[in-house]
Amino acid sequence: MNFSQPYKILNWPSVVLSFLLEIACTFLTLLMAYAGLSKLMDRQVFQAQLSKSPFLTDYANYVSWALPVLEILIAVLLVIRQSRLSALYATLFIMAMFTFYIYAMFLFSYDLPCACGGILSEMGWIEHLWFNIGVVCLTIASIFLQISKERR
Amino acid sequence: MHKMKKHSLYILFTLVSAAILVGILAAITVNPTFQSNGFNRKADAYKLEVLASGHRNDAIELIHTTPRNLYFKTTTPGKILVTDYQIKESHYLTYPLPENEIRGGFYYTFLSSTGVQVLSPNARSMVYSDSTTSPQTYSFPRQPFSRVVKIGNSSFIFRGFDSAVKNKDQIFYKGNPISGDVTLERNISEIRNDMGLGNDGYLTYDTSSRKIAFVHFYKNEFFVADTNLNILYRSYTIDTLKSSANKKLAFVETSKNDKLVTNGAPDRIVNGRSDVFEGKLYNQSKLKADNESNDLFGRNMVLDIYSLDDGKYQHSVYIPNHRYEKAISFKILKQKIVVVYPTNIVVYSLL
Repeated sequence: MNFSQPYKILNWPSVVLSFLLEIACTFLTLLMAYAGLSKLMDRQVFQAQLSKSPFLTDYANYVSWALPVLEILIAVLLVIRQSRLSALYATLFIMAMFTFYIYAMFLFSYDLPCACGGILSEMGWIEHLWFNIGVVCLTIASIFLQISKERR
Repeated sequence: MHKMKKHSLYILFTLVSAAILVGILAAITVNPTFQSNGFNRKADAYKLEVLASGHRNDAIELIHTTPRNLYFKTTTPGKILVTDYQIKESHYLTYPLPENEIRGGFYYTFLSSTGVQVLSPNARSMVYSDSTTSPQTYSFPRQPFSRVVKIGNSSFIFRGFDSAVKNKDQIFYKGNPISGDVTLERNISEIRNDMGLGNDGYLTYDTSSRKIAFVHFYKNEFFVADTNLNILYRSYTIDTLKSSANKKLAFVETSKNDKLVTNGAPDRIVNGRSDVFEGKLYNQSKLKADNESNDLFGRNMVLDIYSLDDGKYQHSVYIPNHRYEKAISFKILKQKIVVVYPTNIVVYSLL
């Protein structure tokens, strides 16, 4: 046995946390890309939904482009390691906004428009709310994991 | 540790910013419903008690009853959920339907003891199916329609497009898909050329009095007519929103050949669903009365009850949210209301 080779000690907790961070970021990247692309593919429907909101009706055309593009941009920034922390904050802001919006819809009225695309539009309000709360929690956990990774 | 604290504050700031933004959005959107609307309700006449409740499965609305069973339209055309009145034992009845005859997921289902009639507004067809023979398709009516009620074995009242109004608005007509007979309305609809959206509403038929009722969604009007489309009277719901603006339209291409027409501006909904039973009209109001709190209005679906004889307001009844869920649909039966919620079906006694 050759003892002259340096023995590399693996920091297992750190490896596990990095692995979990990668899984979480991959999921968030796919989610953002899927949300953005499905909105772009059904952009006319998305725009029509937005135009029913008193708040957004005058800006529906711009928002129907800007929001999916922003979601796709966040997905790209999540892939790039240098911009990951900022992208996680952007994800948190968008997902928190969607979550509060669904809660408001749930609390006040079903007449508020919902403009989610793809498979997300098939969910009921409660499933949608729990799904979003889960994603918000996952994003917060990812932010802390990313910070601790950057410190190491 | 210091860095973690700093980022905890950033996260809190992000969450609070998102909440504030949505709060502003919700306040602007919801405010019209909760403002003072200039009318009061009488709501002490009825007491509701839960008689039974059970899982909704994929039920959408109650379409047929027998003394032992309730029959619900489901999210799948031709598939009927059958339960007892206790919502305990349930099974499905499945009628075969040609798939290409039901387009856009929007269809009306009428169930009888012999079979099911499914009318598809976009496919402009009626399919009759029973469990023994292959389904029969009738290409009727010739133009798309939005509302339909069944008034006889093969006789229906439609609200839909017609060449008489150059297909730019919707009118009422009586039609028979089997014989192809059509009788158009006489001076019922106000023609606006907005694809019928501004005057859209909910159409119902009372089998006991043989009257149809149409309650507008966007203004406080309704009318009652006989089965030959003779207007018996026009009346107003108790709120004060008397006019609806012409609708800004949005055209959405759903495929190369299909275009979906929808409202292109915020809706100001006055009335929602309605139902008629034994000479009474039960109308879901979307406006809060001045004598009810935001909390009461928010936690209930309000049904205003009118006499079908003269259109006069009688009382209101509150259908509570069930496990924090608002009702999807309701159907009035003899001293009962069957309500479909997102996860449950509840049968209330109406005493």
